[in-house]
Amino acid sequence: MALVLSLRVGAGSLTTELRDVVRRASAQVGQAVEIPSAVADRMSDEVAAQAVADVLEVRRRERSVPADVLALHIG
Amino acid sequence: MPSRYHLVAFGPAEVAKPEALLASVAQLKGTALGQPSLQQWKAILSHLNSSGAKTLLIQDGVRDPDFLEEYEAFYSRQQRSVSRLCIRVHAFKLDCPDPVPTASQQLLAFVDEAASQQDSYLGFVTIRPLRHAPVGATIIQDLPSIPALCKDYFPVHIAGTKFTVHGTPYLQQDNAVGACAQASIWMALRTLRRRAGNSAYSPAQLTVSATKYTALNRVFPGRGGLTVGQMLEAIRASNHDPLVIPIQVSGKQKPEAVIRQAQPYLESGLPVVTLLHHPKTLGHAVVAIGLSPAPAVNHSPAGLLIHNDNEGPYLELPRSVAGGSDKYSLAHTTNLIVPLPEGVFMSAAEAEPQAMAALSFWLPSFLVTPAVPGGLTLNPAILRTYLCTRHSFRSWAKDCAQLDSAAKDVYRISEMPRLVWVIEIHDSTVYDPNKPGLQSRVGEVVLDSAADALHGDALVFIRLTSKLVPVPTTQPGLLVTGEGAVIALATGEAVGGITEPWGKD
Repeated sequence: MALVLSLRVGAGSLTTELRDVVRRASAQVGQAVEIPSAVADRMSDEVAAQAVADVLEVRRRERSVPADVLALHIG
Repeated sequence: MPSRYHLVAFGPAEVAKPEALLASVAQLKGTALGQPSLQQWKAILSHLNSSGAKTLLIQDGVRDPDFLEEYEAFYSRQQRSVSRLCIRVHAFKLDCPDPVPTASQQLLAFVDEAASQQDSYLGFVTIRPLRHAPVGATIIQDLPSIPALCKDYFPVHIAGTKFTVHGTPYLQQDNAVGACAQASIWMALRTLRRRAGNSAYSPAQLTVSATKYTALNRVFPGRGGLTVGQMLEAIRASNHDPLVIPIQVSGKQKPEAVIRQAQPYLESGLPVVTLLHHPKTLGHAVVAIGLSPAPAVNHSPAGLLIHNDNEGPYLELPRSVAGGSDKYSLAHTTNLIVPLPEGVFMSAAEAEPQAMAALSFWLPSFLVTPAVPGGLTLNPAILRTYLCTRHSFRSWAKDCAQLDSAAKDVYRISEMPRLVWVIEIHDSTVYDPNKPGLQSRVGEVVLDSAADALHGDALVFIRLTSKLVPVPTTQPGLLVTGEGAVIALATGEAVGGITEPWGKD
């Protein structure tokens, strides 16, 4: 089954700056508004930080192929 | 001059006597020491009957490239004369003329008439001259009631006329040149051949590639199968990047875990080689090519749709079987192998937390009132994740009438990686896994499949709509690009999902 989404959303440290960007975008619907570079520089770090524990857990699982599985005879 | 072709009327009577039909079309008859292996042939006949086949066109003297290599590697060495030629059985929905024509002109008229009728051709079965393993390279259409997700269009030429079969290649192991391990890899790679642009590897070539560096016994006959390590080597030799997903969950959670981990790849059109271990019958490999229909909306698929070289094509691998049974089920899964295209560095399991992080990062900025301490719970939603070509993504954007026009422009014009992970967010009260095109999609996250999930540089697009949350939003929709632009969208209608992420071309 596709993953059932259960997500609670709070406010991040950049929310205030981003709300300002969204407000400016809302004033000109359909037009692209650039995110200030100072915010953009911090943005990917913050997104990555939110996912890091989950991604590391996935990597741990995907990397730990038991040796006896690799030696299993399939035929 | 004797004709290479003849027609046979087909229906339930022929399905009921598979041995007689096999003897008639391929002269494969039992002896005191050996009976023909019929299980796969029976399953194919039953499938063709369910598909509405009415006529079989038998083609003699076929030089099947896969069998020719099996012949060179093994059967040509035998004292007994084994033909290097195969029989090919083509199936049509068109009624067989009565009386059955024998003259070439009438037979060609049948072929030409079949070509003029859309969807008349159902595919072909190659019959090897081997009593113990008659079913060679086979491509027949799937059933609309249980569609395969991993399939392709294959051209077939008969007497100067071109037909096309839309299906998933199937092969029975011969237990000499290859076992179920090679058969499963062959089925997976042949399905991907045109899309990946790789060479067609025969079972014999796969066996040689698999045992190039580590052979634990003789290479031929390969009755013992392959180890998982050897299987990975064979897939790697074909220019695919095998992703191994160990199933480390046990008990009742295991079938659900297998489906959840296989589903993103199946939805991507990538066959999943599924390794099974049964206490009685030991190690076996099948190839998963689709999902058994979910019993209802908002339910998980009932199992996996598989090609089982030991039993037949388009069968269902159930979640479990009765205790004491020697049949396989999802509960016997040890791990999954996905032959990924080159350059896909992020797995589906890594992509999903990335999408969740991007979603929880951007949603607070989209709300009229900032989220209260403790957070805001989203409307019930389901993620559908798949690997998609940029061409298919843009094509979907172009054709999706409900998609906001500004989003449509950005999706069609922006630079995109060759392959992206698309994480569709669906309204779970409407989403039907059997109908991904249904308009239940309320947003999506698009990630670069070649990015490193840990460095936060994977985001290509995220589109949010007001339907995601139970509170007011600043606009009906919001689109953010990985290049740092924010676009307020005038509309936020639910849209359909992409049904063929790999595209037709």
